[in-house]
Amino acid sequence: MLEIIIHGRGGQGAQTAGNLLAQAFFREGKQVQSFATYGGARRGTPVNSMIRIDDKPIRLRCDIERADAILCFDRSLLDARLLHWADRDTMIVVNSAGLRENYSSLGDYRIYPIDGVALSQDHELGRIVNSALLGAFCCLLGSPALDTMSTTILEAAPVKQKRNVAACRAGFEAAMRQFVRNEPIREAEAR
Amino acid sequence: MMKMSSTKTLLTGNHAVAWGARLARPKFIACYPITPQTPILEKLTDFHMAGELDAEILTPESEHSAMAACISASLTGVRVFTATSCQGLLLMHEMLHYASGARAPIVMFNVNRTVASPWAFWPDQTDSVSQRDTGWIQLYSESGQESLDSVMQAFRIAEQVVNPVLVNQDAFYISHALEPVEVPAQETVDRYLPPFHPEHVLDPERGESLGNVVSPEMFCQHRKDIGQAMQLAIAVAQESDAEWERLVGRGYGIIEPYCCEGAELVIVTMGSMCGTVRHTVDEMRARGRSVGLLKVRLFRPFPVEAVRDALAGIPDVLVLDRNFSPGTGGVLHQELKSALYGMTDAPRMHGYLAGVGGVNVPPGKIEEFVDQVRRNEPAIHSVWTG
Amino acid sequence: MNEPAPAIWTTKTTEVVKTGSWRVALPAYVNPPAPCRNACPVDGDIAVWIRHIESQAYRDAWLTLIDNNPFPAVTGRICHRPCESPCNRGRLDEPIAIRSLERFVGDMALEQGWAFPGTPVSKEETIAIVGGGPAGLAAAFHLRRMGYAVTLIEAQPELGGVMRYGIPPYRLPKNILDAEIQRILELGVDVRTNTRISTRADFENLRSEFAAVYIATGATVPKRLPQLDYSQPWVIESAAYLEQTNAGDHPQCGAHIVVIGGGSAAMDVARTARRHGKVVTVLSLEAEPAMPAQSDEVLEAKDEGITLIAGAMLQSVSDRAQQGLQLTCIRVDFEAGAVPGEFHVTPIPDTTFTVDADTIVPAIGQDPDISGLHDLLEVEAALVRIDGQQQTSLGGFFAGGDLVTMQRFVTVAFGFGKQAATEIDRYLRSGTPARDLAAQPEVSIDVINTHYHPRASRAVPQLVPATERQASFGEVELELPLSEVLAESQRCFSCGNCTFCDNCFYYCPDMAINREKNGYSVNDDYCKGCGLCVRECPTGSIIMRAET
Repeated sequence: MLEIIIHGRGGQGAQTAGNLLAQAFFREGKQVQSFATYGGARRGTPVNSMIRIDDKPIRLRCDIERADAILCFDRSLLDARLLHWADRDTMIVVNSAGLRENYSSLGDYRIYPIDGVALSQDHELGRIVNSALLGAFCCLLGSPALDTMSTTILEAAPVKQKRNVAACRAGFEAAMRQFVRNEPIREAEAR
Repeated sequence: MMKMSSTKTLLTGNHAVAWGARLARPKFIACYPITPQTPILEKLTDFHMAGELDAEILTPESEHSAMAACISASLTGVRVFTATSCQGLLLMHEMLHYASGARAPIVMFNVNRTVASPWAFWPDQTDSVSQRDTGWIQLYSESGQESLDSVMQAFRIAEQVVNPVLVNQDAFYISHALEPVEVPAQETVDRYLPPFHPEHVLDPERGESLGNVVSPEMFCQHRKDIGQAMQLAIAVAQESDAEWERLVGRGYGIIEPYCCEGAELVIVTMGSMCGTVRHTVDEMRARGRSVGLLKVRLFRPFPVEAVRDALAGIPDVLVLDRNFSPGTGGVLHQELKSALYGMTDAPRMHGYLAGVGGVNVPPGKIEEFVDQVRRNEPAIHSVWTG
Repeated sequence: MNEPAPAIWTTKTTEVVKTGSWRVALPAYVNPPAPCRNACPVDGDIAVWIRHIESQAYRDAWLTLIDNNPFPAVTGRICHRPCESPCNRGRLDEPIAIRSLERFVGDMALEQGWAFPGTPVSKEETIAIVGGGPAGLAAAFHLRRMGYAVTLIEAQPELGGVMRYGIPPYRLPKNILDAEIQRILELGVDVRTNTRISTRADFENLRSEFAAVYIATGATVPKRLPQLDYSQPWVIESAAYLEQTNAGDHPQCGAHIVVIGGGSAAMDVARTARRHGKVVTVLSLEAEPAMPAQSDEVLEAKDEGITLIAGAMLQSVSDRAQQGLQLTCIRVDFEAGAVPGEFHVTPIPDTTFTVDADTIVPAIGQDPDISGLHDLLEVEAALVRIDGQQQTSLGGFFAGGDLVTMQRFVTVAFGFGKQAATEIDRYLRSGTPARDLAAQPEVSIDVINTHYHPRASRAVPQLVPATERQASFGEVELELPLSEVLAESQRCFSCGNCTFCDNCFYYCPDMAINREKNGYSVNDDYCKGCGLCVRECPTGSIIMRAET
C-alpha cells in the first residue's frame, strides 16, 4: 500500500489535488481511498488530504501515521509537525524556489523543492499550484503515468483544464531536469 | 439471474448514499443540511434539478420540522427519505419516537458526528446510539459501498415490517472518503424494491385516523405490536441482505463474524472501525495470532441470538466503542454484556472506549489493546484508551 | 416467508363520537347585511365592490355597482352618503370613504368606455316612464335590463332633471352626467323630450298605450314664503336661478344676494352667485348643525366667502330704492317635526336684526306638480300616495321619487327607480316572488374581529383652493389617487361579505366547518358551539344563534 499526504492551507487546492491523484491511480486500475479534513477548516489553516493506493481493496479507516510521500503546498508548513508523518524514506515534494540544501537543517529527509508558483505563473494560473506540483510529484513518485495524470486533470479540473494540463507537464519536466537527470531517484515502492 | 449493468465509479460515502436514495425512487424528501451530511442533500437536489429524481424535496426550517414532514408524507403512503447528523438527529428526537409510533416506514441516513458541546466535526456514534430506544431499526455501515447497499435494504426492511430505519456511517472516514463504489442499475433496484403501497394511508376519502387518543390498554397493545415488528425485523433484515446479495453479489449479514473460528479473542465494533480492525486481524493472523472481528451491522433490533452464537466458545471479547454514555461507558459494551448475560461459559468481556470524539484508532493501537486485554482481567466498566 | 408484521394502528374514523351534543348555541354562516348596505337607498353591494377594488378587479367592481345603480360617477360625487355614518369602521377609527371609491370606479368606467351588457327586448309589454330625472332614468335602466321596452317622456328639452337643471357643474360636471345618461340610452330607450304630460287626459292616453306607467315628475313647484312679495323683480326663485346659471346664463340681479334656505339648493344658489362675483349671505332657519344641506357643502360655501346666518327667520323686506333692500330678521329656535319637511320655529324675543341686499333668492324647497293628477289618483298633502310597492291608487300606475317622498336626495330617487322596476315586473308577472323583507340584523362592530384590521386613517379627497373656486365652475373635489383608493379599499371590514379567508375552517377545533362551493357550512354533529369561528371571522359573516 502506498500512503500519501498532501499538505497545504485551506483554499490552496490540497483536497482537489488529492482527489485528482486518487482518480489518476483509479484510472490505472488501482484501489484508492482519498479523504481530507473538512468542516472546521478555514481558508489559510493547515489541511491534510490523505490518499491510500493499493492493489487490494483498502479497509483501513484511520489516519495515515507514516507517509510514503508528502506533497507540501506551502514551504512555511514544512516543519517538525509535518515531518512527524515522515521518515528518512519518505519522499517530500515542497512548493519552493529554494534549493535542497536550504532544508538540510530539518534533518536527514528526502526533500525536493519545486517552484510551483513560477511554473503556475508561466501558465497564467496565478497562485493555483496544484497541477504543476502534481506533475512534479508524479515524476518523482514514478506513478501515475504523466499521460494518466494529464487526462485526469483535463477531465476533472474544475476550470482552465488545458492550462492546468500544460502546468502539470511543465512540473513533470522541471522535476525531471532538476532531480532525475542529476540524481536518479528510486521509484517509490509499494509497502 | 439476468445480468444487469452496474457502474463502478469513485464516490464519497455521502454521494454513495445520495445515489442509493435516488435509486430507491422516494416520492418525498424533507431534509435540513448539516455538516457532514450536507453533500447528501446537495447531490439529491442536483439529481432533482437534472430531472433524475422524481420526488418532492422540502427544505423546512429545522430537522424537527423535516422529520414531522417526513412522518406526514409517509403516512399518506409514499416512500420517504431523509438524512441528518448529530445535532440534527437529536433535534428530531421527539419526532423519532413519533415516527416509530406512527409506524411510518421512513428511511433516514445519519452521518455519525460528535455531539456538542464542545463543537467538533469528527466521527463519534453517540448521536445515533443514544437514539436506541426510539423504535427505529438501526444499521451501521463500514464503507461507502455498504452505505449505498444499506439504503436499498433499509427501504425493503422498513416497508416489510412497517417501521422506520436509520442507517449510519461515520463522518470523515466514510462520509468524505472518495473510493470506488459500484452503483447498481436502476432495473436491479426496481426488481428489489417494488413500488410502495401500504395497507393503511391517510386519505380524506378513506376516513381513517392514525395516532388518535387511546386507552392505556390500547397503548400497551400498540407498544407490543411495535416490539413484535422489531423482532420480525431481524429475519427480514437477513432475508433482505440475502436477496440483495443474490442480485448484486454483495451481502453483509446482520452481523459479520470475521476470522472468529478458533479465535482466542474477538473484537466487536460497529461502523468504519470494522475496516481497520479487519485489516489488523489479517496482519495479526499472518503473524500467528488468533484474533477475529465481530462486526455488528444491525444494532436495533439487537440480534442477541446471532451474537451469542457467534461468540460461543470465544475466551475473550473486546468491545470497541466509538461513543460514550456518561455514567455507564460504551453503549455497545453494555449491549454485549446484556446479550451474553446468563450464557454458559460466556466469554470474558472487555470494553474499551476507543476513538471517542474522532480520536484516530490505527492498527497499531488495536494491537496494543489486544495485548492489554491478554494481560488483564476484564474491568466491570468500560476503559478509556487513547 | 416471514410472518406478516403487525399492522399499522388505525382507529378508523372518529365520526362515531358526535361531540356536538353539549352545545347550547350553533354558528350560522349567514352573511348578514352590512350597515352600509342597509342604509344605501339603492341597496348597493358596497362591501362586494370595495373588495373587487382591493383585488384591482375594477370592472367587476363596476359590474357589481351597476346592478343597483347605473350612475356611479354621479352618486360618486353628489350622493348624500347615508352609508358612511353607520359604517362599522367608524367605530374603530373613521368610516370608509365609500363615495370617493364609487367615484373612482364610476370615472374609470367612463374613461374605459365600458358599456352596459346589452339586453334584447324579451318581454312584450312596453312601459311608459313620465319624467327623465333620477327616478325615471333609473327605472328605465332597470326595466330595460329586465327585457322590457321603455318609453321615457320628459317635459324639458334634455334628460337629467334636477341633476341637469338643479345641481351646478362644480359639483357634477355636465360631461359626466351626459355620459352616464347616454350609456343608458344605448341600451335602447324610446325617448320623447319636450313632451309634457300634465292633464288627466294625457295620463289616460298613456294608460291605453302602455302596459304600465311610472310617474316620476319630481318636485318642480317652489314653496313660497308668505312674508315675501314674489311679484317684485328683486325676488328670483332658486329653481329658475339655477336653471339659468346651469345653462350658462347670468340672471339679472344686484351685487348683494341673500339666499333664504338651509338645504343643498340654497348652497348651490349661494355658491353659484359667489362664482358670479356676488356678495352672498345665506339665511337659514336651522342652526348650522341641523341644516339639511350636507355639512361639507356648508363648510365649502363658507370657505368660498359666503356669510351664513343660521337659526334666523326673515320677517319683512323694505325696498329702499337706491339704497337697496333691507331685510328685517329675527333669531329663532328651530325644531324638526316627526316627518321630513315638518318643523316648528319659535322666534327669540328681542333678537331682531337687519341685513342689506339687492336680490333675494328663496330656496326653501319645492313641491310636486300634482295639478293633473289629483283627480286621477289619491294624493296626500302635496304628495302622491303609494303603497309599499310604489303602486298608486290607479291600477297600472306607479309613482316614485320626489313626487312621493320628502326625502329629496338624488340617490333616494335612484332607489325608487330601481324598486319600481321590480314592482312593475311583479305587477305584470304575478309569479315573481316578493323580496324577502324579513331582513336579518345587520353586522355590528361587536362581531368584527378588529385584530385583523390595523388602524388607518380615512382617505380624504383634496379640494381646489377656495380662492380658485370663487372664479371657476370647475369641479371642487378632486379624485383620489390610485394608491389612496387601494389603501382605502383595504380598510373596509367587508361586513357580512365573506372573503373565504378560511379562518373558520382552520380555527374550528372540531373540524365542524365544511368548505362549500360558495362559502361554508356547519356540521352540527360535531360543532360544540364554542364560537371560535365567529370570534375569528374578520367580516362578521358567521353568527351565533342560541339553541333551545
